[in-house]
Amino acid sequence: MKKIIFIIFLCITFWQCDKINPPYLENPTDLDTSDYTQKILLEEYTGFRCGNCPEATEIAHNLKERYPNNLILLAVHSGGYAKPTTAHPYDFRTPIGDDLDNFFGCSKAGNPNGMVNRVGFPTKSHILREGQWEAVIQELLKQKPKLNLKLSTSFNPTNRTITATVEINFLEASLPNYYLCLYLAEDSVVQYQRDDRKNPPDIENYVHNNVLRDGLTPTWGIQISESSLSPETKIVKEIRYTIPDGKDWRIPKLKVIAFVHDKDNTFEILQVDESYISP
Amino acid sequence: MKHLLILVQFQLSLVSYVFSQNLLENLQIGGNFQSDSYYYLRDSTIESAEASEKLLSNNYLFLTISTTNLNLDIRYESFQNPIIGYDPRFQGSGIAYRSISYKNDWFNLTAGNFYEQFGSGMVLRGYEERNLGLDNSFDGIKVTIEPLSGIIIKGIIGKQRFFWSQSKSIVRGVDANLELSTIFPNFFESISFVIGGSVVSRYQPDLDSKYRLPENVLAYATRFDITTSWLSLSTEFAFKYNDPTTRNKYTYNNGIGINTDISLFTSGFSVSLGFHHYDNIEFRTDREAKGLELHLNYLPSLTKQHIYSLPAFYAASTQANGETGFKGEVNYTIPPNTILKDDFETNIAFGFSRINSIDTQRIDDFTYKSKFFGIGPELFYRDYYIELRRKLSRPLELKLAYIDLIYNKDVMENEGSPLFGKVKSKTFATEIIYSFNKTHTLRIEFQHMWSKNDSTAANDDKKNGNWFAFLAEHSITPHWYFSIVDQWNYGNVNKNYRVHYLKFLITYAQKTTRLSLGFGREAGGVVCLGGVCRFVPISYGVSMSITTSF
Repeated sequence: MKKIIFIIFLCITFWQCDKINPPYLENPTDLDTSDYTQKILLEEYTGFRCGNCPEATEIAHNLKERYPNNLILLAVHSGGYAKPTTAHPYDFRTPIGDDLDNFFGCSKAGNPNGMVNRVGFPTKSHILREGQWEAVIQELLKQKPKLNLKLSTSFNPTNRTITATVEINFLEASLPNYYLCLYLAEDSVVQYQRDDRKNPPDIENYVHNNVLRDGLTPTWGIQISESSLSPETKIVKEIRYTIPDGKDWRIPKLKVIAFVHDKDNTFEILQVDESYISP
Repeated sequence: MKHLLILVQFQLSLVSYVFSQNLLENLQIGGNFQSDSYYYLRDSTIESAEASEKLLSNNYLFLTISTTNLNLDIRYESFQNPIIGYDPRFQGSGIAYRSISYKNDWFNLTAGNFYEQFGSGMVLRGYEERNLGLDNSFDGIKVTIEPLSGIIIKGIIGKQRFFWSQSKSIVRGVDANLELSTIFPNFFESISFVIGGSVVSRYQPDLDSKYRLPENVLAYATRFDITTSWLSLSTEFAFKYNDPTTRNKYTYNNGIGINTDISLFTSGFSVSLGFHHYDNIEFRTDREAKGLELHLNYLPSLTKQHIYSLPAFYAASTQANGETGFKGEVNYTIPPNTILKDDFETNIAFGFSRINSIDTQRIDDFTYKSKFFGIGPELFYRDYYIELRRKLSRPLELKLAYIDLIYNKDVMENEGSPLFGKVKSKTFATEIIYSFNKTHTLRIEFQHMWSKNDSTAANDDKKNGNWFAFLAEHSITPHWYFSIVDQWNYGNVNKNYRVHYLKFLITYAQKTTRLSLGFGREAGGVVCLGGVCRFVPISYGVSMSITTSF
C-alpha cells in the first residue's frame, strides 16, 4: 500500500510543458517600429592613403544596404594612413577620431578595420576585419535592446547652430556609466583616395561618405544620469552646437549620429540613431 | 482535495514509520575541511592578478552525522574574499548546504540541499566541483524508492543554488532506472542490461516584455547500458522543448543531445569509441544565466583530458549550443618476455578525436533548420596522441607521449568572435619515475610544445608560441612531497611575455591531513573538468592549502 502511495505522490508532482508557436514576440507589431529596433554603429577606421580601405568601405556600404534600418556607418580617419602628404594636404583627421583611435588602438592594428558597437572591448576582439563585421551585426540584432533612442535635429542657418534632441527610453534599468555621445559626420566629400585594386591606384575624385567631422559632445559624451534609472524611464536631452567658422562642410550633407555607451565599463554602444541636420 | 488527502495520508504513514525505529542507532560523525588561500604579490613582467586585500581565501567545512536511518549533512563555506578566478559573488560566509535525510531498505527521503544526477546528467545534474567554483546543489525535496530489487525511482523538486541565494525557477524531475538483468536474471546471464528514463521540467515565470517565453520547459532523456565480459555500450538521448535564453540568443528550436560510448576489451587490448551530438541542449535554471551559473544539465565531454600541463592549456570545453564529434582510443599492453625480452610489460595507447560545429541553416530570427547528425564546417577541436609507458628496470619507469592538437580558441574562449584564431600545437612529453627505495621516489617530467595561432586580428595574447616545461617531484612517503615546476613560454610572439612561470611546492601529509605551501608564478589559463571550464588568471604569490577529513 505504501508503495502505491509513493507512486501516486510522484504522479501528482507531474507537470506540463509549454510549447510556443509563432509569433514569438509578445506584440509582433512592435517588431518593425522603432520602439524595439536595435540599431548598430559600425565605426570604420580608415585613411585616404590606405590602399586596402576602399574595399572595406564597399563592404560597409553593402552591409548598410542589407540592414538599412539597423545599421549606421561612421568613417573615422585616423592613424598613419590619414596623415596628409604634400601632394594631398587635405586633412580628414579630427581630435575626436584621434582620441578614439588612441584609446581603441584601431589604426595600430592595421587599417582597414572597424568596431561594431565596440563589442569585445577590452579583449581586443573589438577590432574586427571587414569580413567579420556581418557576423557580429547578426549576433547583435538578435539581442534585446536595453534602451531606445530617438534623435531629431534642426538647423538655424542664421547662427549656423544645430539643435539635436535626443529622447531616451530605458527598457532595462540604466547605469550611471551610460553616456550620450553626439558626433557630426559628412557625406559625399570628394577627395583623393588610394585604391590598390585599381591601376594606377590614385583616385583623385573618390567620394568619401560618413566622414567624422566633430562632436556635439566631448569624445566620451555626457552622463545621462548620476544615478541608476529604472526601466520605462524616459529622458530627453537637448544639445546645441554651432558650426565653427572656416569649415568647408556642406550643410545638406551633414548628419548627427547619437549613441549611448557604457563608458568606463565595457564601452559597448547600446543604441544609436542618426539624423541629417537639414530636412 | 484528493491530492491533499493523499499527501496527509503519506505524511501520517511516514511519521508512524520513522518513530517505530531507534533513531540513534549506530551514531557516526564525520566530515572534512578544506582551506585554500593565496597571497598575491605584484609581478609587472607577467602583469599578474592583484588583490587589494592581498590575501584571499576559500574555506569549506563539511559535517555529516548519521545513524542507521537518519543522516544530517551541513556545510559551512567562507570566502573572504574569493580567490581571483572564482566568481566574486561567492563573497561571504554561511551555511551553504544543509540537509536531513531518512532512509530504510526501500525508501529514502531528503529534505534540504541535495545533489542528484539522472543518467549521465544530460537533463539533470546538480553537483559540486570546487576546482571550478561550481556548486549547483538543489534545495527542496528528494525521494528515492526501490520497490523491487533492480528498480530505482527518484523524484525531486527544488531550486538551485545561486551563490548565496537561489534560482528564480523551480525544477521538478523524475527518473527511473531499471536493471533488467537483476529483475529478469534468467534472461540475462553474465550480462548487465540497464535501461532508464528521466523527465525534468523547469518553471520560470515569463516577465519578459519582448518575447513570448515558455514558462514550463520540459526535457526528457532515455538511456541504456549493456556490459558483458568483453563489451560495454552506453548511450543516452536527450530532448528539450523550446527554451529561448540569452545563451542560445533566443532560439525557439527544440534541443537534442546524444552521447554514445562503446568499448571492447580483452586481456591486454581494448578499443573504445565515442560519439556525441549536441544541438541547443544547454539547460539552466535561469534564462539569463551565463558562465558557470545555474547549470541544470551536464553534457559529458568527448575529448581526452591531457594530463601534461602544456597541452592542457588547450582543453576543449563543451559547446552546448551546437557541436558534434567523435573519438577513439586503442590500448595495448605488450606482455613481458614477448617482443621485448625482459620482465616488464609495455603499455601503448593511441587516440584521436574531432569536434566540429553542427550543420544549421537559419530560417528566421527565432529558428533554424538543423540536419540530424549534420556536421558543420567549423572545426572546434581535434587531437591525436600516442602514449607509451614501460619499466626499464625495477626502480625505473619511463613514459613518453606525443600530442598533436588543433584548438579553436575563438570558440572556446571568446564566444566565437574572431580574435585568437585556431591554435595548432604539438607536444612531446617525457616522464621518468625512479624509486630509490620504498620511501624515496623522484619523478621528472620534460615537455616541449610547438604551437602557433592563426590569429586574424593583431593581439597581445599572453600565451602563445612555443613552450618548454620541466617538473621535478621528490616524494618521501608518507609525509613529504617537494616539487619544482617551470613553464617557459620562450616562443611568445611578444618578447615581453617570453617568461618563466617558475613555482615551488612543499606538501606535508599526516594521515588524512595535508598541508601545502607553494610559491611562484602561475601561468593561468582555462581549467577544464569534464568539458566545463573556468578561467584562471596569471598570478604570482604564495599559495596555502589545508585539507583534512575526520
